[in-house]
Amino acid sequence: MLEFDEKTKKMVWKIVYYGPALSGKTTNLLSLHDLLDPEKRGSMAEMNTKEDRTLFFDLLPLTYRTPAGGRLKIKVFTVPGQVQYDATRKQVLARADGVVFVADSQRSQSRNNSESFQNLVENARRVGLPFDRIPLVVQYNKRDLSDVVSEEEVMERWKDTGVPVLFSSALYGRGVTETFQTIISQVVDYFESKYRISENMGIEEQGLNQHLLGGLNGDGITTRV
Amino acid sequence: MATESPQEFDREFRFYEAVYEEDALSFINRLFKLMDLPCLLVGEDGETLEANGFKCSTINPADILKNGLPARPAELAHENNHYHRAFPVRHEGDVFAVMVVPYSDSGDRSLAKAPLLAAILESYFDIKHKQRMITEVHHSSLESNYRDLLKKNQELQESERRYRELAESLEIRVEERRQELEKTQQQLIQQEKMASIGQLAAGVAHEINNPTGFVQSNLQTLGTYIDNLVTMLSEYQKIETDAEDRERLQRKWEELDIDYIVSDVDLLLEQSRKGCERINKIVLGLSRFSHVEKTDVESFDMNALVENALELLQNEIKHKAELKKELSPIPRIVGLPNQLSQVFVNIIVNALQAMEDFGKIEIKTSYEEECAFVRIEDNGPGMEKETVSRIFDPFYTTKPVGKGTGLGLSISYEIVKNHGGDIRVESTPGKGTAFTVFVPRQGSSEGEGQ
Repeated sequence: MLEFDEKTKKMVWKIVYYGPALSGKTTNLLSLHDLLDPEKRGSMAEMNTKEDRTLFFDLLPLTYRTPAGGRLKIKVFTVPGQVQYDATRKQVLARADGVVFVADSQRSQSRNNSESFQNLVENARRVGLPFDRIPLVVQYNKRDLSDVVSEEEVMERWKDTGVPVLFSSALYGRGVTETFQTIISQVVDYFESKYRISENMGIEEQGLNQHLLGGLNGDGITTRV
Repeated sequence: MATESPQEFDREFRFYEAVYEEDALSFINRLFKLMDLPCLLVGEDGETLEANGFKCSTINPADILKNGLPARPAELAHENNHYHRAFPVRHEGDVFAVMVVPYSDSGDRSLAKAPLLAAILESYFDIKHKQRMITEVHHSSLESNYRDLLKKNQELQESERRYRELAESLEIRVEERRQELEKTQQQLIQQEKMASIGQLAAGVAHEINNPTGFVQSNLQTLGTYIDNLVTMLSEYQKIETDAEDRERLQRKWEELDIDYIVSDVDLLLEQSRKGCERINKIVLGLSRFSHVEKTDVESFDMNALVENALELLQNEIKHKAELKKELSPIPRIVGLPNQLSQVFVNIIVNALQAMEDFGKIEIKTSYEEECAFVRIEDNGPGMEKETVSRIFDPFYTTKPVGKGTGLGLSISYEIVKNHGGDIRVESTPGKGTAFTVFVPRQGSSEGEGQ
């Protein structure tokens, strides 16, 4: 749900990192936080317990001033992955403009991944998100571990859906910006077709990416479909 | 959901949403006093958020934001050696308030304090914002859980209500269903009884017909033979014989009572023939019952049919009862008039036979809901309940042996059923009996499509 304040020419996007417990959603955000220029982002708000588990959500806010003088704020959230926090998960997912599904690549986690994805589909329906239309990116995290599902297998599984799939190792900052770049590009396309944001707001993918991630490059382990 | 929208935890949070809270306001007040820094805090809409010892007529808060929120510390208009510098206060990487600090020269300690104060404000607001978000997301999670519970509770109550209703109505429905089943069962038993009796009757009728046929024919021949024998006998009597023989023959004649035999033999034969006729009548009744003769349906006037039956019985009625008729117009009925006529005759004859004294018979016809009604009422002795329940059973009769076959009403019942109608009986012992025959206008399956 796009938020736009006419008076201050401010647009707010909401991107949500979804996925099973301990798949690395918060690590993705922390990594992104560390990689981005402090000038362009706010401080990261983590809401976690002693055991470092996300209790409510994490929030990484990013800002961009368009050449036309408009303001864009991108709020990147993570949901709590633990099954029992479904009500909170629903609240965080509500009004999302784009979703990154962070899956755990370990073989043992396949079932959790698919249950969490089912939960995403179900909750999207509950909070009224048009799941078949809103931008979605899938990230297979923890590529640094052994006994992970092979890339071929993953690609085989997702190839018919048309959903972009990326591979990452968020703990080491690999594949994190690529994933973010991909979802940003999807959201830009989505809003371009819906609200013509390039014309009305002066927001263009290249300028936005340059601003947010200028100078950052992946190290080549990620794949983009 | 509309009422919920101001509660969205991820909405854009205005500075004053936090600082206008009482404790926040007092915190900021104390902070400014502690820092001993006269300054003006302006929000993103140009509104004054705080003016701590700030006295300057040259600075108009609305003018500060003329060029938008400054991303970096910026110099504002100055008068003599009164300078003003605007410091951005950031939240989520974006400037959302401006702190204007007056100073006299570049060495003013206020300028050193300003960024520190801005940083404290930023941190404070971050904490406040985080607190608010957590409170609200927690609140709405609870609320949504609560709503889910309410919904579940409602569903449970609804299902409990349905269950209760079901339980309450169950007994009634079971009773209804039981009665329905009982009725159906009785109908089935009746049909089955009729069908098996019909088969039996057809078999019996066939078996009896043959012997009765040759008994009747032999009786006929026997009559002729006996006539011949009697004639021959009288010829023999005319023969002249001697006195001794004549006396012997005469004795034997008397001993064997030949005169009586000759006079009685015709009566015997006559009674035997009558007996055979009765057997024939019963057999005919039986075969009628077993397969009510199939003839073509036709349309007829029910009232005329009733009149016809009454005419047929004119003599019997005249001596036994006073007749009262009340015939209402009835549209033409489709069916088998000859059979129905038999029904009316049967019922009227029964009524007449039951009457002990001179009585009264009332016949009424009417037409309602596509059905012709013929009501035949007498003031005879009436029947006990037990009798009423059996009168349509084949071979059931209350008449003395030889008077009734017990088939009349069974056949009548079959005929009316075949027309898709029914016969109802009301009877009170000592008061009389009323038969109501009703026949639907379009008659039976045989009458369909006609």
